[in-house]
Amino acid sequence: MTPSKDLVAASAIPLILSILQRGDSYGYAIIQQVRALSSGELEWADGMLYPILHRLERRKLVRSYWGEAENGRKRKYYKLHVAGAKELAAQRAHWDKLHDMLQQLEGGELCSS
Amino acid sequence: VFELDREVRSWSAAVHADRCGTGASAAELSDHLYCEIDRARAEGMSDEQAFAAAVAKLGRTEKLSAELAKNQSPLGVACAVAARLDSRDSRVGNRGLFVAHGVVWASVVIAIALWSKKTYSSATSQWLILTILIPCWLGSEQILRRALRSGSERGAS
Repeated sequence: MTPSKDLVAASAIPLILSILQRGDSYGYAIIQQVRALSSGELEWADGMLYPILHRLERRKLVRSYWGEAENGRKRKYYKLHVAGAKELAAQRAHWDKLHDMLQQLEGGELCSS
Repeated sequence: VFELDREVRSWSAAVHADRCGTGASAAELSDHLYCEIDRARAEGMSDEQAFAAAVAKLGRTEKLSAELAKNQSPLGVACAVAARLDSRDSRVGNRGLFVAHGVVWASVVIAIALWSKKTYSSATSQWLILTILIPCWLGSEQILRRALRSGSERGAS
């Protein structure tokens, strides 16, 4: 089952920040990681990642630096900034809350008072 | 003959057309493209097929270009606008006319500013006059630009 466009867009930032929390990475590797994690169910148009990364950089949630790929090509790496880690913690709390609410509704443990 | 490097460069130029300071973004997207091309070639595709597949995966060029442009710094936006105006002027070939237009308007603004300084004591009214005059100046330049463009298009056809 493929998630809707809206869900894909909403989940992009927490996913990118989570990947960068595990270590510095670059665009292509981030996309491959998301694809592998979702077993191919979460398909991004590859191009959508870069405007998001640039926006995160402008918001100072991530930092970038240039490195060299194994084949000698210039490669832009991204690193999670302190503000990005805070933003990720906040977003995780929101997603956890949402997950919790859905679980409660599914299990019928609804407090009506 | 299909030249992969040339195709990558021209795709990148199309994505970053009409913008300034895009070297970093171009290098980043080219790296992505080559990664995807390498993967596709490893599956047995030719350079041409691999390039087409990689470009398709990145999505529509215009959409990508528009999305990337949203993250431009104010300086980048100003530079892009200046570059666009400059290219239009040189195409029209009426640089002298634009300079003359600028000089006339600058003189008008300075003359009115000096006159208002003598007439009105309030600084607010002077600012008000300037905020009316400057948009008029820019508007007049746009009208001139359009008139010259339509004239040259008619001339060309």
